[in-house]
Amino acid sequence: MVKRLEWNRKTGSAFFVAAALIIVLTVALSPREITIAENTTLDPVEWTFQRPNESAQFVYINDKLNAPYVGDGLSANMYVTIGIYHENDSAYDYNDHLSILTVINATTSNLNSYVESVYVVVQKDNESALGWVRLQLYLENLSLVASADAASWRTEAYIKLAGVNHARSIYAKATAEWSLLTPNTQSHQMEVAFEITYYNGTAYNKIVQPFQLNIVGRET
Amino acid sequence: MNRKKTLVSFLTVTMLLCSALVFPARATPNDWSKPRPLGYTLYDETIGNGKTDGVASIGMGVHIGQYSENDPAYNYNDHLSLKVSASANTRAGIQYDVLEEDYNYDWCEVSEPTGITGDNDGTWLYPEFTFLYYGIEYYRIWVCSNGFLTLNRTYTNADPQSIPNTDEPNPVIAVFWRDLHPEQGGSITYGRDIEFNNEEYFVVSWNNVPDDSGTPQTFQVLIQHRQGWGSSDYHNKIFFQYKNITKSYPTTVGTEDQVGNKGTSYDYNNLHNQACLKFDYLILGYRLERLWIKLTKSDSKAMIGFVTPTEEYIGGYNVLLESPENNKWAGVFTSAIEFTADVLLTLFTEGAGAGIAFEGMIIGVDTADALSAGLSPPIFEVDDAPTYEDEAHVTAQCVVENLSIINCKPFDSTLAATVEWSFTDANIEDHDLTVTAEAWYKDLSNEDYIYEISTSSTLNMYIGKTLSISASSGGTTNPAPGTHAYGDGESVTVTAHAYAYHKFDGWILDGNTIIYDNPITVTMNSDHTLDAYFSVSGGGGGGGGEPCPTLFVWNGSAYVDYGVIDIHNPSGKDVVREVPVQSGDVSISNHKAKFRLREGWEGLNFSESIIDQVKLYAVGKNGNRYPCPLIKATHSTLGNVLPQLLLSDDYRVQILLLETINLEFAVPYKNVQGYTFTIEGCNKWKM
Repeated sequence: MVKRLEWNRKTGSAFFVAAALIIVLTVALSPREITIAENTTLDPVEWTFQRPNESAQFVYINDKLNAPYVGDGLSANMYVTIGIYHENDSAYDYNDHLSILTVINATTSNLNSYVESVYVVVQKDNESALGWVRLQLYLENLSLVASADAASWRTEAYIKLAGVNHARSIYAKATAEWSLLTPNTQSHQMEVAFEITYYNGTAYNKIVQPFQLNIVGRET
Repeated sequence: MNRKKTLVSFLTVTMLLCSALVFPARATPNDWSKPRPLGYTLYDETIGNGKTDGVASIGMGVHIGQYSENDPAYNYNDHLSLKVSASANTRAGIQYDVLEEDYNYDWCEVSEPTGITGDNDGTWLYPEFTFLYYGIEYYRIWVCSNGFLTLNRTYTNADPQSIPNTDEPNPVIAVFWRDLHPEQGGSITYGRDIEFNNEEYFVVSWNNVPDDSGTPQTFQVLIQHRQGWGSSDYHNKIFFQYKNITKSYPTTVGTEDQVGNKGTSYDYNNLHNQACLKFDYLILGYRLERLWIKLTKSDSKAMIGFVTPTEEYIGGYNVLLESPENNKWAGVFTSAIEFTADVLLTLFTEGAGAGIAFEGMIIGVDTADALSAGLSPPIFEVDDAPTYEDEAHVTAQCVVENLSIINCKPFDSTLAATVEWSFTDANIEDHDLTVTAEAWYKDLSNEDYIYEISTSSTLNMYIGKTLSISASSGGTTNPAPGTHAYGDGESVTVTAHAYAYHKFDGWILDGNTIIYDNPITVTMNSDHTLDAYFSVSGGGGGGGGEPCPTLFVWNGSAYVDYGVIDIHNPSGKDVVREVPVQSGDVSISNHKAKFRLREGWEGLNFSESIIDQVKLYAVGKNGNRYPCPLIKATHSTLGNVLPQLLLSDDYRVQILLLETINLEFAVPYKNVQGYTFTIEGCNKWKM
């Protein structure tokens, strides 16, 4: 009986220590919960393009959609460049596809401020597919946390980036191929949004800059 | 953009394979080499390679798609899209043999009537288990009254064929293939037996069925009910038993595979009553273990990246299934077959025993249905190659999707991926790429060793010679003005086209040589410049000042002026003229293209041409012409003139000053590189 009590005490202590360790480790290793003091969504930048005739084969678009931002403690330049519209590319299972470049360049203004994270998220319709061209991903003062493509049956693709060493300036460049899995008569929409979370020296703020891309179907 | 998936694709592949069996397979080029273009270029070409080692076969296709110049989304680098497909199988090593010709005879009585009572008759039977025959799973059997079984389709051939034989029926299990007559007597029955060989068998018996001489014949076939995949005996054993037969007529006995290029024949003269033949496949089986597509480069100014999302553009299939699942990768599977079928069929026609992956499955109605419903994706690993790495690869473990099956790997596997090969130099360097398809396979009876088979193709993009073409106002050229790249020594034909009210004056080659020929041929032994000069004519452009019809081409928003077509001939006899038309100027809507002819121009007092025939050809990438039928011709005064313009005959149409004829042509082609408009007619008036 005594022995059993002794065992129980030891066991109880062990459990207590283990539980404490788990709590400490959980707190230490889990992502920090950040309270966003101010969340600002900027006006979307819109772009519209009519799908070309099937005989066009390709269209060199090279449209740069720029969204500069200067605000409380952060200046950023975000842009989306629409590269080339490829018609009926046999290597893409005879789908049309557009190459798209997303770029973000941001700097915080205060000495003890920094960029916490950058989230590039794409929402698209379910008759198109979006894939990141991983070889073209270029980062400065950011590390890749996660990325996801979006096959036709998924709506969201994203790239999650974390600031490195509390850097004040960050740069990210990512290329994607947007495949349109429909005839040229059909329209498509996609929203690309940059979400920058930064610390301005006193609080965390977030800005969201959406880009609305509209592909308009061509009437026969 | 036309994406026709799954069913249409399967039908296409089926037709491709069927036609390839009828006609000799086209040899697919192994390698590819082109000068780096200076602008967007659509290649739409396929190369490939294949190999067999007597056990396994591998085929690979590389489809070369679009070359993009200075893509802003790729750091203004050039890139070329490729679709690489690999298909491997271990069918070449499968062979049923007569393992024992005096096996213990033990006649099995079965009484269920098949319902076959007519001459050259047959019926489907369903043994309630799937069985593996020459590497393909079957769930039903066609029993023919003439003493044989088939598995894909219905056959009733009375005349026995030799084995092996590529003529239909394939595959065939010929227990006693002879012209038999159940309508004259006897019966054909089936059932199950659990005593023969202490195993369970599906049995079909021909009981006293008369042959041509009226002599009754009694024999049966037994197909083993395999006890699941965990057993060591993968292919189902087959037994033939003969109770009462005669040898008075030609008879075929044996087994044959799905293609008919492989089989085991037994001389029926050696048969006797109370004989039992055992057919089996001694080797446990070679099965695929892993499939690779490797892309290897040797320079640091190029990158190789697989296109994502994976679910859309990277995929594959193992083809040995029991539990179907959703078929979301069907397109990838189809492309793998499309690009590799040609290679494998070439192997088949040129080297017996190479085997054709999926041949039996796709052509067979049963198995095509099965394929469309239940293919299993392998497990992938993908690795890109940035500038500082040499190799990119995608690899797939070959597994069947039913994980409860132990030690079961597929006979067939496919893998396909879309790749972007991009170049970081400014069009100043050559680039090479070696594409390799590699399969690993094992012998299930000795899993200590992994065997390997691979095949490769190379792609080369080199710095070619440039031809810089310019055109003065008043005309254009084909190829269009701009700088184009060609291979060293290549002959390039350039044609000048004067706009309305203009005429072509001549060329200046390399700034100093004046040439009046049109078209002109330039040999690209060095870089060249070519300037086309046009001037205002007295009112007739290419017509030399004489009014004739002017050709207009509808580009989707306006008519593009292709100038006056000179059909002037004072003798009154028709002349034929051709006008090259650029594909970018032709709007295709509902597979139709619109053209217009207008006689003369404003300011003239009179003009008259007589048109006999107009034609349009689409020009493919290989330079071949494909006719585009004229489907509508509307004269601005006379209305429908289609009958007059269809043929080269005496039925013609008059067109007077400023009258027009609107033309519609059907264009049922894709990837058209250009068009040629042809007119036959005459304008005999001299202004």
